[in-house]
Amino acid sequence: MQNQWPQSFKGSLHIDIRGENLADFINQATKAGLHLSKILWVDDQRICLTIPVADFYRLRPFLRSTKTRVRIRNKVGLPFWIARVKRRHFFLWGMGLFIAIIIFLSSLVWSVEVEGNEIVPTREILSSLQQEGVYVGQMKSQIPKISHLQHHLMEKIPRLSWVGFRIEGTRAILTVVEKKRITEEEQKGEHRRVNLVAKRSGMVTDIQVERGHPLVDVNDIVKKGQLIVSGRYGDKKKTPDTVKDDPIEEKFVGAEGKVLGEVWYESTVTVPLTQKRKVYTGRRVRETHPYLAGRVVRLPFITTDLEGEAEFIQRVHKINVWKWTLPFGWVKEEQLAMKWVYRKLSQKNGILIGRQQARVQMLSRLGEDGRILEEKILHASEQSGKVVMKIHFTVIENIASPQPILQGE
Amino acid sequence: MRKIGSRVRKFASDLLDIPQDVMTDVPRILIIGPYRVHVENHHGVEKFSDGEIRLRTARGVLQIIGAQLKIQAIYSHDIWIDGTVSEVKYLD
Repeated sequence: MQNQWPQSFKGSLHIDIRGENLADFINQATKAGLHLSKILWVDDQRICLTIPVADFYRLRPFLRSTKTRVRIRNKVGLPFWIARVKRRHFFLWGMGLFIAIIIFLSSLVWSVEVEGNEIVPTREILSSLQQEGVYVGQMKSQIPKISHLQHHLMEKIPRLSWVGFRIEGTRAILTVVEKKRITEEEQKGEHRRVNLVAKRSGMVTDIQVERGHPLVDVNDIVKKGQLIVSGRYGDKKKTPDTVKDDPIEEKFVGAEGKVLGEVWYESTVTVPLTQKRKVYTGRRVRETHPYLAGRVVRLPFITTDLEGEAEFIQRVHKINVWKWTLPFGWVKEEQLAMKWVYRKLSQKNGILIGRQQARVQMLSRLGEDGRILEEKILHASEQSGKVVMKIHFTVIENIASPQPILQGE
Repeated sequence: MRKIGSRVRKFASDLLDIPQDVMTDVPRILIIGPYRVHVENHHGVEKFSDGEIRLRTARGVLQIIGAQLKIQAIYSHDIWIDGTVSEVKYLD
């Protein structure tokens, strides 16, 4: 009652009391405010009890007046423990040294590993890592900044396209990604055995053949699937009067090139005449809510909600402690009141917008070689609040597409 | 004189609806299962052994009988007894 400190901090004594008037002794000591506890009866002449160290010296007058005698049996608590430890301070030093050694050893790099390399030898990567200061036995704190290290390594070994360095405990791990090497076929300059065929019907306007034998001319009309540029080299024609062993043999060189053709497209576009847009009214509320275990706690009564429709912007701030992110924090929330605004378009504007949309769509479909020559609105009509129209495009695009030559032919 | 005083106090506590143990000096005893007894307002230990403990109180001597009794803690007005309690009674 007198002090709130736990007994173990202050230290206490287990003592034996011997004598005739034990009950008197207990009464007197208690009256004087001594803190007796765990009083055990051993026999009529003897009891055991526990007493705080500070009260021990105040026992003396009661011992004398009741003619009892005291004997200390045991000492427990922090002060005695400290005294004991002081007597064995070498043990304590050993413990400290052990912890120091553990800390020191765990601050070293114990192994360096390289992951993900196939062509570049590990030894080469390790030696350049060593030059950068990453090797077995190095202090982890001596390793340079990771971004610098990665940059230097990339410069040193140009065959790598990416390096990632990390330290896991006492292991230094380097993950590398090698540059994709040019395949042998590409190095030799061999080409795929392909013909070029038309992927769409149209009129040929330009032929740019890099390899192969063109079979059509400018201004020819081609049909979808028609052979335009042949990948065969050499004449295949065999008239009856040619000699049987023709010196010119067929060779496959593969076709390559562009064939630009004029193609027609027709696209249907629908544009609604009433357009719906979201507009902020300007009313807004900013609030901060607590964030617990992955969810926002919106407290009733404190939280205000805007009337009508509103947009929520929530920014979560999680509390970080050193390198851990705790699952709670706070959320800054902003509510923006909004309303829908309807805009009516005239038919003329609708057609304009539809035409623009169609053009953008068409251009993205045509690719890099394509361009629009002409566009014509075929007919536009208004149907249940929408403008529906057909647009006819005349475009130039690359109509050649590769098709493998079958060997069995 | 003391008897008159205690009667007055009892009358006052009845009248004012105050619990009697607050006003008067009588012991307040709390028994937890068979293994613990708390006594407030005791006036000292009269006898102590592991089978019987006698406490002085304003009402008289309170006798606690049991086995392996021990005084877990004792203060000037409170006492806390642990052990196997079988009987708690006043000795007249």
